[in-house]
Amino acid sequence: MSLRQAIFLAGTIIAVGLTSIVPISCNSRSMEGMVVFTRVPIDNFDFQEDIIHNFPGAQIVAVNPDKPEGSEVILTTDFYSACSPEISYDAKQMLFVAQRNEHEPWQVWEMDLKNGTSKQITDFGESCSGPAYLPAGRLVFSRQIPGRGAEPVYALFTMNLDGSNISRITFQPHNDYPAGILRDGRILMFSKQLYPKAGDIMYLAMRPNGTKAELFYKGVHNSILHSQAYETMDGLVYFIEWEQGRGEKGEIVSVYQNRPLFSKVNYTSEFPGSFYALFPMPSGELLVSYRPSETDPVALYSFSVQEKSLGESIYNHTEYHVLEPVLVEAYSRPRNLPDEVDDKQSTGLLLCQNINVTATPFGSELNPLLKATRVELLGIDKSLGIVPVEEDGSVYLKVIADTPVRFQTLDEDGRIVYGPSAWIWLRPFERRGCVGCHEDPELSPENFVPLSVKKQPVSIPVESTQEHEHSSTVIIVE
Amino acid sequence: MNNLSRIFHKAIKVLSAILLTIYLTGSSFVEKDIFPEAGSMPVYGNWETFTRKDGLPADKAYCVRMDGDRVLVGTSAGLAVYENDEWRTYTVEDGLAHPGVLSIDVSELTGDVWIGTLGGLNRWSAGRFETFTQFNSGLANDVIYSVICDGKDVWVATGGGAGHYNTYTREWGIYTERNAPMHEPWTYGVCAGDKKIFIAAWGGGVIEYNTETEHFRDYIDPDGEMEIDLFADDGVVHDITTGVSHADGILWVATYFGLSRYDGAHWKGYFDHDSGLISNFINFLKADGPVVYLCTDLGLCGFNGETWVTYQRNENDKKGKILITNGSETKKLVASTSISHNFVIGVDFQGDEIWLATSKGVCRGERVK
Amino acid sequence: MRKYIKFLFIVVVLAVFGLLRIPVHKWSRQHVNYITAVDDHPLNCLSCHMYTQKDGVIAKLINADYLSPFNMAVSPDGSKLYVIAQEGNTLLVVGTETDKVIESIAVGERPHSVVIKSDGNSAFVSNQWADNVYEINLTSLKIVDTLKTGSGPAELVLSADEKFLYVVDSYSSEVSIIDLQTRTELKRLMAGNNPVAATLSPDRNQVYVTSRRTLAMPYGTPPMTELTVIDAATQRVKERKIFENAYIMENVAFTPSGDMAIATLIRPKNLIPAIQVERGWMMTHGIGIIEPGNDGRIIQLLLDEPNAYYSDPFDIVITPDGEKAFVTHSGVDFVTVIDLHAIRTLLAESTAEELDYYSNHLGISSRYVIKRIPTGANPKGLVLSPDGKYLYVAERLEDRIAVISTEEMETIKTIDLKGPSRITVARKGRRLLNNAGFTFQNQYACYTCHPDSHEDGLVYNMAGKDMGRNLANVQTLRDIGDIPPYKWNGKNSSIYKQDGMRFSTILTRTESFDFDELDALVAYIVTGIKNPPNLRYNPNGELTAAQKRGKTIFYRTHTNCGKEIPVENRCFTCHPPPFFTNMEMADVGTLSETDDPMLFDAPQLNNVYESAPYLHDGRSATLEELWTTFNDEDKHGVGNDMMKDQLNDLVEYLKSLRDAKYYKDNIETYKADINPE
Repeated sequence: MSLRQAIFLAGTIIAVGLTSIVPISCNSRSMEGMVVFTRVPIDNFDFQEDIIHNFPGAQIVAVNPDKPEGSEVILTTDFYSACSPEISYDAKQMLFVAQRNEHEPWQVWEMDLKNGTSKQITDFGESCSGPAYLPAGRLVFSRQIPGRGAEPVYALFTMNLDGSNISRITFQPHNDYPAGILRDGRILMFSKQLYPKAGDIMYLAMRPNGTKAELFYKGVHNSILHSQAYETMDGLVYFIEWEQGRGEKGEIVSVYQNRPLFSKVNYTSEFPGSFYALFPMPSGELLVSYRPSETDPVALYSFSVQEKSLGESIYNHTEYHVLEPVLVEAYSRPRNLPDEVDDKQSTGLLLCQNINVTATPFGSELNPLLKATRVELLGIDKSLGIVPVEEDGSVYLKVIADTPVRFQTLDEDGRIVYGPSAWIWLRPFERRGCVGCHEDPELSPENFVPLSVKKQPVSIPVESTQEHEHSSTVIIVE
Repeated sequence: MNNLSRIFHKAIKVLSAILLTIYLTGSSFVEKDIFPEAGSMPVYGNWETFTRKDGLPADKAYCVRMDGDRVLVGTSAGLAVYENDEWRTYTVEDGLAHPGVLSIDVSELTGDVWIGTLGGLNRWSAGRFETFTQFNSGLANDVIYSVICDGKDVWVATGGGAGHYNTYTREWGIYTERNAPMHEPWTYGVCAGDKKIFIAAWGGGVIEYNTETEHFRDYIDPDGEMEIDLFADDGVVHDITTGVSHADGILWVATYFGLSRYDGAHWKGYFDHDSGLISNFINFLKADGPVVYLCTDLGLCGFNGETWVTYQRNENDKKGKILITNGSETKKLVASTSISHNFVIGVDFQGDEIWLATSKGVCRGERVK
Repeated sequence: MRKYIKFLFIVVVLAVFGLLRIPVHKWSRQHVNYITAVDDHPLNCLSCHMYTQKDGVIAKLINADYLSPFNMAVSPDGSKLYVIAQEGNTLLVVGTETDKVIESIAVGERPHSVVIKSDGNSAFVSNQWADNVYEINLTSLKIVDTLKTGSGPAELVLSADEKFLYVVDSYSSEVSIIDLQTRTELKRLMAGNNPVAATLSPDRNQVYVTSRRTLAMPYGTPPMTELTVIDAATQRVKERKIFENAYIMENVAFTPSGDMAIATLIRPKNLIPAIQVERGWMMTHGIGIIEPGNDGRIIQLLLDEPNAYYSDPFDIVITPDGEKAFVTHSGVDFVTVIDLHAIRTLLAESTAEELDYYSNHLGISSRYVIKRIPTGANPKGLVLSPDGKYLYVAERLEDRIAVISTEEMETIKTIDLKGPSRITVARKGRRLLNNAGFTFQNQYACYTCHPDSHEDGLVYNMAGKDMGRNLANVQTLRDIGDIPPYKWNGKNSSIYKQDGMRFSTILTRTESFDFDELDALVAYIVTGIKNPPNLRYNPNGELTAAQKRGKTIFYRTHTNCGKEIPVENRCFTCHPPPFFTNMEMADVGTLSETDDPMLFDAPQLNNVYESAPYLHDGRSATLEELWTTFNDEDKHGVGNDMMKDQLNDLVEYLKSLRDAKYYKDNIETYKADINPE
């Protein structure tokens, strides 16, 4: 074969190869830059305080925000209901929850945005909701589990994207639901206490293995946190809050991730209508779901945070509310936090530096005569034991893992000094420290060797006091 | 209130000094002729005693060191500091190595106070105590009988040898019978002078260390007699030495058997039977200029090579006794105030004040002019 | 036939390669797995075998000589900036209008600070690794005199009349006072532990000196770090101000009115079990304030926030109007701007109890922090232009100076000092080591516990599997590349393993380094961290008399009584040169009740004098205590027969031990030491 023939042959092969590739490429679609959202039939939209956002009959739809007219694509035509779209870090996949048919449990699905094919990730007898991507090929979602009464409750689970290696990560008598992933790698979740009495919806932050859960943000009493929360590159976390006392409307607020409890900014206090959802755009603007009045459907708008002004409507539909907008665009992956949980263990360790450190403001001290010398751990139904604390107020406990507990501190006479606290739980082999009991959440610990850690930890439940009733004396502070 | 109290206190002191002078001389106040027998030797009076009642941590005081406006006293229960007419005590809780403070010196260079205790050595610098012990440092032994500062160097006499600490290099040296001409490691006193260090070594006389050549030599009692000084002025009076002090080119050596003076060429001995020395049992001595003060079991002696002035306390009437001896003549005077106790262990003097540490309290005398 | 042989040869070679490929790959995999302690590290031979080259042509090719600007001074007219290039060993003269390096003056080893006389005609530069100060004529740009100092001269301060120079001796923990008329050192005053910075009070009567390491405290008690106050009139230490539970006080500045002196500091949590990072459980960072007019009240306030930490605060300057302070955070690449009016208000309205509470409060910074200005890598020294309008920031690992408008509180330009333009692997590693971004919420960098890549002198409760257990004395990172294993119990066979996944699980508690980052970090640790010269105890290899005697004891084979010391119990068996470690495990009898039963990795002894406290849990405050207190059973070498002066000699010898290179270069000598026959 001559050189010329060889070149010709090679060129032919390459040309044939290219022509075979092009049609394949044309079969896929690029979703980059599209806005995906959930649209909910107006008739099926029953906005409640509930934090679980599974809307019957809802669809996930994509539009080109620059040319919304005619660009509308329904992505979940194969499903009776679908909602909660969540885009992967590389913008190639989308998690969502859906039900194939009415009355079936909602399951988590993942869609390949290139070709629109979906694969089912969860397959439970109960409904799931609110999936979110975690680093290292995992996801977090909320799943129904049996509650104390007839009503099921929701707890958070994580699993691999192939459906394997499922792990439950929250264990409190709350409804827990993912609200987002912070850039530092923690899961932000809605959490609403159900027992012993209903509480307000709060954002809690915790590691993806369910450890170190702590309060991230809560509004004034009876306020409602409604939307997913998104952290931007400048460290602000945006979400929608229905603040008690400010009218029945959702407002766009942000908190500073570095100091979320005391940095709230309200951007829409002057707006008459109600906001339902938001999503930060790379431009700094927000995609928002806004309902100008009760008679209008919720529509998709852009919103300028700088100007505190609403842009033109991007998408609206007379028969649907537009909720849960997300932009299909790659974004930086949060930190992949290491996992210290050891499932072979059955307990976790808890150190409280000084049970008498509380969040009491200066000048309003507790009754100085009441110094707590013991701490009582309360389970769901019974006391798990009363433990005397060391001279320095410290206590070191080995607590049965994945079990909700609360604390109350007692004085020498068994009177309750403080508590009961909020529920906490420890994961297997989790080791956790507290500065005090219900202490100022912004207080870092004093640097000293707690006397209690010089000894072995006290096992909880304490055997001899397992069956004791709760202390029933007067609660001084709750 | 403090100021008022101070003014009142000063007034009382001045008045007392005047009354003392009148009492002692029995005549009107004549400045220069008060104690003609004393010659150039200062005479102190108007003694004021401080005990636990006055704020000292213990009555037993081991040493005293004047440092500008304050006086540092080592007691059996801590370091006491007298400043602005008030006593303040520092104990083990404050960082002192041991409550028994045996010796104190102040670095002229840095102002740091070096404190020898029964349980280690302290550097006390602007409120911070740093502790050196035989366990955590190269200190020879924790019982520090004497400490002195010589420029950047600190020397200690300990129960386990003499020690040297170079504060720049942090190097410790230990000098015992293993590497120095000593009889045994027990050392009682140390002083510096003429680029030499003199160590009072128990049973070893005086050990001289030349800081330039880094060589030792010893001065022992040539007659080797332990009971008496067999040959007068042949050397140090006894091998068991308790203190050394160097000033004006003269080395003074204290023993329990008399006093020695060495001018670099000749030794001379002084005893209670042939001089104004009140007792051969000398606990401590300190020289400055031509004058040396000797702390004995029978009182305090001052000596300038010619005149002896001795201060004692009459335990019966609590009055003071002053003996001025020139040659064989001694003049005895009675004073209205006295040193706190005749068992004197420490002395320091600066300007017109002298301070004594005794087995029962600390006292301050003022020069009578 | 020959043609066939050639063919056969090729076939055989290919066959051999083919046959060996699998076992070689398998061996390589096992080897890399062992070194990295993971099974998915790419089989990249360059990671270990090229980037970690310390000498030779390859090392020269892959590395670069950076400048590393550190501290600075500005000329009285503001036209020139004098920049200490810490690793360039130069003083760079930079035109502030041209933004160009005008001159590069070679100075001594590892310069630290520069101070300019008020007439602008001469400068003094401290050479930290040469134990001297250069005087430089700023007209001729020549070195005109060398002044001897204590060990590790750092910050320099001129007295009010400029007749005396105060030199902070960082290694010997002193302040040298140099008479500039006689050119001699008058005296040395004891400072805090590892002092580095100093400043003259506005009334020019006092010199404040900050230190980095805690004073020697009783074991298990919180760190206490000293700020030394020197009376300029008496040239004596007037006061020692103690900052409780704080250390690493890198710099200090006075307000123009003198109402406050503010120092940067870190508040470590070393005594608390290291079980989490959340809520400032490991490190917090802030400032220490002294109010001279308020009985010298000492206050500590944090610059952190509840979910964000601003690690490794380094320098601080205060504007001429006394309204703003600027602090560099070299661990997070930020400058914090502090509103001093807000600080004054807070101090005025708060009780002592409240202020004590605030010292641990992560939210209080929102009261006075008004801006965080991002910078280039590893910002260190700061200096203000004479008019206070511009703030110059030395971006150490960027070889660059940032210029910040103090009014706008924004970076307006940067000045390139013209260091090497490429970033080497080791340089990347150095940035990683200095950056807290690899710890959860940026709470601390490797550098935080390893300042100057050494150790911080603290003992941390690493809380093995139980909270009261596993107390660990921080170990140095200097020259450790060739002495595996790592960790006191030798659990980590390589630096890869030491800094790998487990490191992130138990220490940084965030995402672990990726393999490229780990390569870079290892490359820097192995090649870039040297021991400073042991000028203090062994400047030229000539031992003192005591050190020679001590050396004899170190290499002895018989006790004082003539009894033979078992080989395994001789000093040099476990501690042979050049690193003075045999890299083996041994039982030296110092396991504590809170340790899991295990042996000890024999530590290296190069420059051991600067690594107090000693033993794996830091219980031995001094070298002496190793044998006076913690060697009852003679397991840590036979020592109980020694006289005290012998022990002193041994300690003197140990303090004389220098960097390993010295012993490698004198290999015959130390071989003879080990085998005298």
